[in-house]
Amino acid sequence: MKLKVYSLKGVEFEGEARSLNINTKLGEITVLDNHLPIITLLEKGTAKIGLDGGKTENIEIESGFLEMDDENNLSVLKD
Amino acid sequence: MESLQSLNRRRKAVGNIGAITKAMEVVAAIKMRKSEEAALDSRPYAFKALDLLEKLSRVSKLESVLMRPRKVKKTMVVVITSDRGLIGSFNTQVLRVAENFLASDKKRSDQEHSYSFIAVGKKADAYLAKKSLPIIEKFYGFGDYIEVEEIAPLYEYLMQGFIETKWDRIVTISMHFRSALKQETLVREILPLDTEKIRQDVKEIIPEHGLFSGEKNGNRAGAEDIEYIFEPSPAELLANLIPHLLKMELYHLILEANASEHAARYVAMKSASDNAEELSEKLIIQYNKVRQAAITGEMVEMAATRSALK
Repeated sequence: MKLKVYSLKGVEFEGEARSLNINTKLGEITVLDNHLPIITLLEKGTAKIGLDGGKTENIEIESGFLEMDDENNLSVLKD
Repeated sequence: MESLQSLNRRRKAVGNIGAITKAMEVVAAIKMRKSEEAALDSRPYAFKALDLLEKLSRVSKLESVLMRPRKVKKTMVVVITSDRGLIGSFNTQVLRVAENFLASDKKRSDQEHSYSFIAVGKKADAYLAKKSLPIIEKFYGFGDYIEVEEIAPLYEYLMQGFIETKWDRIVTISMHFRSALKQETLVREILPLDTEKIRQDVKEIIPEHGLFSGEKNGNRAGAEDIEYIFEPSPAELLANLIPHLLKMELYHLILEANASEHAARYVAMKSASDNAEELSEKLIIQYNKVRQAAITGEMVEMAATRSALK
């Protein structure tokens, strides 16, 4: 899936991702390919982006939003 | 006629001032570019946030304390100027608009209604104090800020006061950056929040001319029929999104004001160094003329003495 992480400082991550593990208001979730369209509220924590080839990248999140649309595009708005 | 020494001294002094204004000109140009870039970097975020707002408002009615208009008893006026001078008429323009706003605001005739002020920048503070208007809070040092964390104290203060109904309306008066040569004063009501206005404001982030003017809005339209899962609920999501939009808007106002300040300083310093150069040329010519006159005088004296000795 295509992942884009937006912040007021610019786009912090853009590219293909296998998975995204993130803290939401209702608990920790992992978003995989072709997840159902969802919009949810993020909580403080570390977002772990699973890249192709088993590597991971971490992004600290204070608060924000996550959106998955019907075309496999995942967007994260963070502060 | 002025003596050679004093002319020389003046010439050097003008040259030194020219060097200083030239340096300030270059620094201002760089800072302007930085603020402009920071404003543009946040644009993808702004568009995405608006996109979310639209999706959420389709399924839920907008209902937030920040959006509900209420009876306005107190208006908070945020006057945004610079900390330092040497920027031509920049501060004067902002302060004049502030004065006009106060004079023409329709709430003025209302007996129960009152104003209070937040000064951003030392010049605003000095002005408000001189007019003995009630300053609730002062914020300094915003002129070089380009990080979003740095405006947090102002943002939180404004929000807190609005939620606790210390004030019912927030108006900002600042400079809007249209291009490096053109800035306009801007009076904007940021609370209660109007989503239509925010949409308009985001579009204005693109400067009209110059390096960054060509960039376009990159959002795809027509995604109306996606069935989203909303967690926890559309209403709660909206309530959380709105403060983000507000923060973004305030951040932009500050960045715009900064870009304008540096642009104004750049222009002022440019004309100052041009003037210094011109003056320095005139002084050199004058210096040479005086020097030549002195030499001619000495020659005449020598010739006269010689002929007298014969």
